[in-house]
Amino acid sequence: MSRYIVYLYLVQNKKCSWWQTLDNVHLSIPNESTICKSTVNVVTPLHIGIDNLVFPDHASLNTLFNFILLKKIKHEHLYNLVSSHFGNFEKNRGGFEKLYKKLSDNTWEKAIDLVKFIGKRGGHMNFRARKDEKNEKQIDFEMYELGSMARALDMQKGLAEEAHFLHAEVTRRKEHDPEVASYLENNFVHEHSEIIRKLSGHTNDLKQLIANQPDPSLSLYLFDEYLQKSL
Amino acid sequence: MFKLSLLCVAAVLFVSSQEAHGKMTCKLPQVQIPDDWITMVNPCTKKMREQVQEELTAAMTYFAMGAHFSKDTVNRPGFAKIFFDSASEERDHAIKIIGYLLMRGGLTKDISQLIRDPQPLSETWADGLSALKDALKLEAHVTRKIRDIATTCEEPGRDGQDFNDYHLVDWLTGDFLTEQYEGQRDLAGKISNLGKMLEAHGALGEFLFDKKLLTGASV
Repeated sequence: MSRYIVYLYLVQNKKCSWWQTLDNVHLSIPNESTICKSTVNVVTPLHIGIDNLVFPDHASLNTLFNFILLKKIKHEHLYNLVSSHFGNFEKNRGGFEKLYKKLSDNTWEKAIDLVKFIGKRGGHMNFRARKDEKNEKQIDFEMYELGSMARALDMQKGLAEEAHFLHAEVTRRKEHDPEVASYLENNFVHEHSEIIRKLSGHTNDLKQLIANQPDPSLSLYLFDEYLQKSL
Repeated sequence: MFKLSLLCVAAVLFVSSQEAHGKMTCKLPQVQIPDDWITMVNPCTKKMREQVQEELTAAMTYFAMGAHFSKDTVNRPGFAKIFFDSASEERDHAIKIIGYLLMRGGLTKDISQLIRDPQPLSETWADGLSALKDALKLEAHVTRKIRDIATTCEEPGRDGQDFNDYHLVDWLTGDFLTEQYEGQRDLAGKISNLGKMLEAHGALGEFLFDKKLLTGASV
């Protein structure tokens, strides 16, 4: 439900990025979380929600970079756990396992790349620069296939949101920093869109495959096989 | 107030959209799978799970070392390179252990407790030598932990849970311990070489050593 609030808020404030239009995926997902009685809150708000997107004014660029890096590391661990979850013999979804393993590997590589960039620009890494994330809920890992993808989509959007904010910060006239902007574009923004688009596509496909089906086991099996082969 | 009214609109939307959509099932039927093939016993499984966190803590510590030596005021790209490589290696170890647990029928529950926000043990180092020394201590610690697992898994020693896990111990000693001992020897050698130069040629020694590390030369 919170997704609606975020969505409406976005519309009201004309802050809609292009990928917010991909939200039609989410708008119909509450069904899954209610009907399947999944404890996973599929429609969690963006963690760096629109409301708390505004960092304190005194936060330096370095701190912002620290935040985004720590978030990446956190995501890396989460993807790893979700991948393991789908790899157990009861779930046995090799395709989903692979999907999240790849996301984890990719996030790890990007994190190393990012910390090198921080060093390149004379910054430093403070691993305790934790942002107060009281809105963050404990994730329940007993998740289903569709819910997990919606969740990953949310995580990626949260990350994109932060990268966009950072990009806006460095393109304002006073603090204009073309190099940081270019780095963000080349290493984050394009890739984020790609991942978000892919996950959104998968989520939509899977949603249609299992909608109105009392027993989606075959659909899930085939979709998982597709993931395994296509990745 | 504005928010409250939004909430109401959202609630109405939510309800109406629910009605508009058909039923969706995600939960599949429970399958009765024989479980007598799952032979790992509790104390052993617990140690293996803990090792995942150990390896990731090591990974994060190496990551922090890489970050430290990437700073312009430190400027030791060679050191940064070997530490980032080690960070990825430790992460791979954690993933390998998870893979083993999955293979033996584990990790069907409590997965969220497997990785608990591992933190680097330190964030700054006085110089290259002290980082190498810390790295060696860290490796020795990890090695002790792996030996610990082997001890526990050979003799879990609980009533009705005596199960000598030959395969796990063999896998650990063959794959992991070999790598640990080789890695430790390599670090000790580096510390020795760098340490010898440091007394008379401190700054120059570390500078040259760093460039050697950068080109991947064995030093």
